[in-house]
Amino acid sequence: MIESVFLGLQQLGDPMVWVALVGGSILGIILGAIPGIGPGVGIALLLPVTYTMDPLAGITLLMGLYAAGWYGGAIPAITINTPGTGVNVLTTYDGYPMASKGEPQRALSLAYASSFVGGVFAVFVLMVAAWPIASLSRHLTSIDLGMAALLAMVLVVVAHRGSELASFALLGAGLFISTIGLETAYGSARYTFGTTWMLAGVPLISVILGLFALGQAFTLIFSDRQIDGNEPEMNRGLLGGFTEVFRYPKTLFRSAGFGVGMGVLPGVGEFLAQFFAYTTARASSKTPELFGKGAPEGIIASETANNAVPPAALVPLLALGIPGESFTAMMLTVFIIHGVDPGPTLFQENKEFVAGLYMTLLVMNVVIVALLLAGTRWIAKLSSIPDRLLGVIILCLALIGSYSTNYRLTDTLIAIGFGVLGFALRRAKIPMVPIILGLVLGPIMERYFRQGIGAAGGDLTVFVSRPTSLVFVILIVVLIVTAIRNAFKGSKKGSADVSG
Amino acid sequence: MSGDANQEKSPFKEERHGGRHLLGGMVCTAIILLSLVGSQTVRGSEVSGRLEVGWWAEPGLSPAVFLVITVITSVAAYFVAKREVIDWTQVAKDYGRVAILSGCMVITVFLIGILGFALSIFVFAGGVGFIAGYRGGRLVVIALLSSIAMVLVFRVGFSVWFPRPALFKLIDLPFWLQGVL
Repeated sequence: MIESVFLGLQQLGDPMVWVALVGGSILGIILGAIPGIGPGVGIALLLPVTYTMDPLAGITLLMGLYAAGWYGGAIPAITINTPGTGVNVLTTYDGYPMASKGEPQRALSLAYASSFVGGVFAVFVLMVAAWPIASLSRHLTSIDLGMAALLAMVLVVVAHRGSELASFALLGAGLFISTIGLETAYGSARYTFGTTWMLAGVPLISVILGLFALGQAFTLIFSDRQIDGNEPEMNRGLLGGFTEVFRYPKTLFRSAGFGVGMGVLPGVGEFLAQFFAYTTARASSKTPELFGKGAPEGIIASETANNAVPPAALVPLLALGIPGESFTAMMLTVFIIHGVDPGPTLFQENKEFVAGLYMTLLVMNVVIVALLLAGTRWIAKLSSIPDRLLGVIILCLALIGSYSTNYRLTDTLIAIGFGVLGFALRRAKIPMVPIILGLVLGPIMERYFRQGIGAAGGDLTVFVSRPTSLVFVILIVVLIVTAIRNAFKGSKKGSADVSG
Repeated sequence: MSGDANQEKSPFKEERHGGRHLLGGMVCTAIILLSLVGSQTVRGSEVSGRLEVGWWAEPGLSPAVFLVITVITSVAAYFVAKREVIDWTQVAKDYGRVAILSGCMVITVFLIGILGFALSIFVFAGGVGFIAGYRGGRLVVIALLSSIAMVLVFRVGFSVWFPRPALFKLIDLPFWLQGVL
């Protein structure tokens, strides 16, 4: 353990890691504090840049965006009652009422302190849990790992309540897109329509930039969102929350536990974590009537839970090579580009990387809090940037990002195609994450299944002949059946308000 | 899970999605692609000079399975999705604007080879800003600041290479300035 700490500290000696750490944190806070953007767009835009960086610096940059985005999202949630990112919704419930009562500094301070505790707690869990899970995965066969990837995708799909079937359809589409190009068994082309530029497959960067950045820009550029609320005074008093949160230790650590638990599970993420944390905090509070009116426990529950998720989401990625949602799926591409193989070998062959990652994640939380304490006054003003201007900036960035990867017009055209799809999916309120997961996990799953079924000589009972894969099969079947039942039940319930 | 449209909603409230026409389009596309599986993939036994690996490694298997999943689930999603009254004029207007923005992007890619990076981004930001509703001095400022920011980030900061534009063959600019612009 101590050896890991020293190894991690050594990695922090690399100036590029510091540039990525501080740069990612600043960008994450800024993007989080601007309602309507969020870290997803930032990660999509910066993904091409990380391919030229060292893996640790690249992952640190993306993690900085991911983690700091949730911190920054609390600022407009508290000051103008508009969550900076979707995961800060519950912070508005008590943050804004507290700010309206003349205590914006206290609300922000509680949010920062809770986020800090949640983030650091989750990093320690990552340090303790990732290696044992990775060690266990050495006993898993190709079929088990393929089924684990499939289970992760199914979990993500069923987590989108109300859109389960559409999510399945998009997952299928993402999986299909992942098969385009040269396949590995025979080296033959699939669905390239005779073109050479499609032999390398559909570029993931273009898909991500299209769905996340362009789709968002197309929406923002015609937005007429008005900011309501007055800019509060933000002077001093942002440190008080760091002692106040510990007056509610049960809420604090239970919420961190929810965040870690939900972060580790694929597809669950920040929403359910903060939902469970918030409702449990309200149920167990001595003053439940204060929730929604500026209860400190409400802010603590929401912010602790959602900030515990990003480091916890790295557990399945590092241990099994299986991302549980879109952000870690994008991070997996950084591993793939650099030939770093997540799983047990990562902990043996890339000890420096793992130790460095743990240390940067810990330091990152300190850096983010320091940046927030110093700059909240200015960061709060960012939420008043007009959406249309943001749309123009994101369009410029997405255009350059999609073209400069390979200098091919076709990459830009693919990005535009997926941008239109992202725009349409946003309008229809259909989640986009399943496409990305299908695209990233499709080749992994196909490889494992080909290996596993091939080793069994084509015998399909291999899926149920081992306890691990049998458990996966049962879980997947139960989840799919439940999701389909819920979808049709929801359809009957909603038929009363069908309008045409 | 971020980036989803329904994440902007409160987790306390579940809302069924719309998008029936989108799902209908997906069904049609997936069926067309499925019908092409024979022509767009080859049989393992037909690949010259290779031994047949087994049915599980057939190149057409995975795309076919994934397309079948897409067809079945998108048909089901189509029938489950909320029926909506659609204002087709508004839809045409929205997608028309998206098409214009997309056209601007394609034109800019060509312009980069003619005018160079900085000038192309200036024109693009100006055009997009105009479509977004900015006019007059504010439009010029937005275009100028956007192009300066992009030059600083991509050309100076990340040293991203772009092909030498035709314009620079006509104008004799210092080498360092060509590298930046």
